[in-house]
Amino acid sequence: MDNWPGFIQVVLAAAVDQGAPLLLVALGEIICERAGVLNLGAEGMMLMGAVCGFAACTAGSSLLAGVAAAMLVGGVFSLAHALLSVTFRANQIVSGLALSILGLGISSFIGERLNLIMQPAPLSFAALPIPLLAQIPFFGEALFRQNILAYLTYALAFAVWFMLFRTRLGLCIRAVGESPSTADVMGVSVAAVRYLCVALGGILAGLGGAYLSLSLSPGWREQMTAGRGWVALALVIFGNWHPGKATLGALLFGALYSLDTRLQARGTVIPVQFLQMIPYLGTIAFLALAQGKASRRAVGAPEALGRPYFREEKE
Amino acid sequence: MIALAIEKRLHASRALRAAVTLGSLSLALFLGGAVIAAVGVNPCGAYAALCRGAFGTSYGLSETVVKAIPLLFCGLSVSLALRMRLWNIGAEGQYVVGALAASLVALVIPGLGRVSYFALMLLASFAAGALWGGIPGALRARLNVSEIITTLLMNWVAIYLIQFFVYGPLRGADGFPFTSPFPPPACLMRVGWGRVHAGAFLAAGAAVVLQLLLAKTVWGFEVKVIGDSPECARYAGMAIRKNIFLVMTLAGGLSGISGFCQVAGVECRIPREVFAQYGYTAIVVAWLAKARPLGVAIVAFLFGGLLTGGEMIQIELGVPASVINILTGSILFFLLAGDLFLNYRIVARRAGTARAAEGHIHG
Amino acid sequence: MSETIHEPAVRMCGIRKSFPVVVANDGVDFDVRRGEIHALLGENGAGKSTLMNILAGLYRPDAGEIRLDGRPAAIGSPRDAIALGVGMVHQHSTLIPRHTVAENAALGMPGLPFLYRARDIENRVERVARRYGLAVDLRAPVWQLSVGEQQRVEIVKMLLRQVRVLILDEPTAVLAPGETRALFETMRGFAQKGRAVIFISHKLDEVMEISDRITVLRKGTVVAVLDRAATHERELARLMVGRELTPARASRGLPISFRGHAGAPASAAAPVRAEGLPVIELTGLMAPGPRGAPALRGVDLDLRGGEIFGIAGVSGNGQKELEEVLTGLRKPSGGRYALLGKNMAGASPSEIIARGLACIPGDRSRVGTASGLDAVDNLILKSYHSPPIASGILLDEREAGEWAGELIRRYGIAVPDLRAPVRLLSGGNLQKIILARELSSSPRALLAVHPTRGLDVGAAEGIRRALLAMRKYGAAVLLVSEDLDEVCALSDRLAVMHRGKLSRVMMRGEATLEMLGLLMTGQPVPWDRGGQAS
Repeated sequence: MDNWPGFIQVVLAAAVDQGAPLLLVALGEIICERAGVLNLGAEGMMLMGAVCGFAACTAGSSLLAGVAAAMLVGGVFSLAHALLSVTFRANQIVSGLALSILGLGISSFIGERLNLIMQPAPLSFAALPIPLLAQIPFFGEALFRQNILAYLTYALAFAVWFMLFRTRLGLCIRAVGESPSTADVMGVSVAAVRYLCVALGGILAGLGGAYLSLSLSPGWREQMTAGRGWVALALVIFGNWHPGKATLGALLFGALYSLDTRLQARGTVIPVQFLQMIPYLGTIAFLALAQGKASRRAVGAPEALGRPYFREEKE
Repeated sequence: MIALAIEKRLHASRALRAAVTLGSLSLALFLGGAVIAAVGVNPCGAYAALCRGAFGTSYGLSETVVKAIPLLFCGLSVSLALRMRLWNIGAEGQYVVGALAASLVALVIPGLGRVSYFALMLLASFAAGALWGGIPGALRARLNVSEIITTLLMNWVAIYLIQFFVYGPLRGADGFPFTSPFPPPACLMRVGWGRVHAGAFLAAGAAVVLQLLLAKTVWGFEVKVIGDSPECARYAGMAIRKNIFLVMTLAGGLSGISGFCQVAGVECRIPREVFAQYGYTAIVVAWLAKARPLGVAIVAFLFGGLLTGGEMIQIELGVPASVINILTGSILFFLLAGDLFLNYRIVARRAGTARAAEGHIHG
Repeated sequence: MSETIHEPAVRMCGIRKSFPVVVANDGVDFDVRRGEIHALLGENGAGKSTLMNILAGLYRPDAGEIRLDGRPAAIGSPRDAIALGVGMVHQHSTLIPRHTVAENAALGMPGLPFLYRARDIENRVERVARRYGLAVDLRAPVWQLSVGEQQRVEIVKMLLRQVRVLILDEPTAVLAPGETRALFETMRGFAQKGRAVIFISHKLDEVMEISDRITVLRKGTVVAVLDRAATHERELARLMVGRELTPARASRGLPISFRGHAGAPASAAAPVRAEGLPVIELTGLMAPGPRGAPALRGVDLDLRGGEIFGIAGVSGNGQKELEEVLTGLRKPSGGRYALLGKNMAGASPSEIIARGLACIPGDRSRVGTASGLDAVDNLILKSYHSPPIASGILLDEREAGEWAGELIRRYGIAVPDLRAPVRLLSGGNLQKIILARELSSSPRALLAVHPTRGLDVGAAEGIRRALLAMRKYGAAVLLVSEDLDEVCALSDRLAVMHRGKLSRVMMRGEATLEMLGLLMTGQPVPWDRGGQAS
């Protein structure tokens, strides 16, 4: 009750940390959905990243090896979804669920076989205060004493925005997600773009998993993501398929995660669970209210999201 | 030169369907077997033990039924929506609020009789689930907001809501994050066979009723037409919006009841693992059953068996429980892939007409 | 090199393209010179769009050869076509609504660097746009633009790819008159730079105004290639719609039983028209089209029991919207629509069905039938909710089966498997299912939209016979069709629909094919000479 600024500072710092893995997965999913592929397998890819990242880091005694392995495995694993949804034109919802279940199974299997459960983390990402910036009162403490992965994550948000809205690749991705037939006519290979985007989504989700096992709570436990993959999917919608808004959303969701224990300790009037509901209810309200022609366009869901593309000759 | 092309297939024969399904299943079993072999267990022995554990003993069979109950309810829920080409990704949340509503009745209203508790809890869980499904349904019907997105989001609202109650007002006397036990009359009766409770009859009844509703009533006919061709249904004078709302509400209610059965039948309180992801597995169940209620019953039973058998081989042979998830995932994966051969035909084209394909690649 | 100079920009030889039901192009020869605007004229379904879709790489021909500037061209995809300098602006938009104009132009633009600067793109687009006088706001998202502006963007997109042959598929259909003039200016400018423009249209005035040469297609074959200076609108109308300038009175290919009524609408077989209330009454009916522009612009009509009223015209002039308004699928924006004296504007489809309107929809596989369901389900679509098929909330499957079986027998529908989805049936049998279902409710009024389109002769004749039977039985029949022979033969009265309005109503025998041709293409008709035009 007494030290509110200090409390806010702590929550903000934790929000940045907690929000980072969510943001990583959400950024990957944004790329993927911008190309028109819905991937409900985020949780599975994240779990795969977490276990492989931790295992590789333990085996190679190198954080870099861990991160690289997580990204590689996430990317390769996601290709299963690409294969089904792009080449085999399967239903993307069911295919994504298959990926989630498969990821849950395989990650637990690997973790158990390698006996990772009781292993202490040999290495983990430590806080890396940024000179000068970390000295800024209040904000320095909150924002600039994070680990390098966190900095990287927020830099990635900018990179993804830049890629989507300022490069030729991004233009093609968005075109494929909005109107694959137009993109096809204009010489863009819909299948190639979709494969690439699903893989990028997997790489980032794998990295998000590694963030958990190498930084946020070093070590490995079964189902250690605890639904974060699903939260990241909601974050994509909350962020309106936009990296910038998703970043703000990640901070909000992260803050709510960290509020969980801290607010209870302080004993507040509003139960924390109701605070945690707000982003979800807010998103639903936003979707319901965005009904005019202009505001409907403002809802960022790509037009062709979830639909397989198949060039067909018709009369 | 010959190039491969993919063409839409209008109709797949029964034999082709059977062949593709069998092929997909064998591939999945083969993959699962490889994983089991990697642990140093004979795959054939493991599969045999799995079947024996799930269906071969009275105890195993009873456990299979217990696990199948929530899957059946939620599977019916997802199927009903699927009949109108709506995706109810929110069975999980509806299940959770159903469990919560039933628990509130049990824990807040003291001293009722068995019948009153049953009726009130059933009603409350149905209403809560219906609300959770009805909101996305109304948004879809009135404002055309994607039900995939809203049902997904509603899940968290449900989870935080139940967390609030379990960590707050309903927290048990012993201080752990689960509720006190319900008063005994509020618990569902056991049928005297393992942990199997009266919810089994409720679930089986729901499957039969839903099957009859869909196959034998005027309303079921409307659902069928709207699901197949909304344009034609509208032209024939059917009320599409009303039915979207109705179907989502009913679907939510069905999932809600499964929450009631689970809390009142198995633990007789809100257990810690109330979120067993039945709602998500149910999507798989419904999809595998092609959204047919009786098919859902069969698939839910088989899935219950898979879960039970998985536990058995874990105990007996030391095969990790995760193998079951791998097996489930690969079954789904290969069946999905197999669909390509049912919905499309792969044809070889000669060079002349294959020019387009080449242009496609080089262009 | 010198050899190719004299070659036309495009030469298509012996092009043949067939679809499952029709042969769209049959041995078509077509050539376009550099620097000319070449009109491709023909009714709907004449094969214009198919021919151009082949040239633009969307379809592959079954047979035939394409040469560009004298060199054989292998066009396998739209990409190939653009690379070879052929670009097409389609009727439907190929723009991405949420992207800006500049982004739409940039997509797939040759030589676009990976890290492009929006400014550079905008400059490039601006330059091209200004050269052809096509001003558009480059940073606006496309959905904010008017239809005319969107079309300009499509053209700019093609110009940026430096196409030498520009195909425009009915570009004026969606434009206001001012916008059409601007478009014509652009086309002229383009042709003056030595490039070729192909202009697909069925509007004679526009064709006469803009084109240098005209190729007329009918039923998939070329019937004439003309210099604009050496022809006139009447000749074009005649070439486009008919074989000869004969008065359309006869009932070619129709059963004898029908001929009896042909000249005698007031015979005993048909109730006297003036009797009773009008069954369908439209006054100043207005409705918006799919893109918001008015599609029905004041339609007046009164239709009584025992008569067939024919509406001729090229589809796309409001027929679809009229169908949707009459069946309750679209809300009219103005005017009155009464069924048997009761106002039905804005009523729901089920209210309109209950009032006694039956309909054979123009789109038989998407609207007329639920294509994934079986024949029984489709036959009970309009009677499932009333006894005997419905008993309480239950659907009596046995009754449904009997009901369907009875209809299948009575209408001679060939259904090999009652439980197979109807999408496997032929068009003729599909139409028979719709007809049987609609007539089974004993309707007071029947709306038939393109009822025989795409059907073989026998099936078409069966449908026509059924329409005449409805008339005899006393129902009011509104027939919307593109088949002039059919409209003339069946209708007691008829009118032509053009740009959302109906022409003056003609009695049977009064209309000639020539008059209809003029009306369909928006030409003035010398009414005083009406019947004697030939």
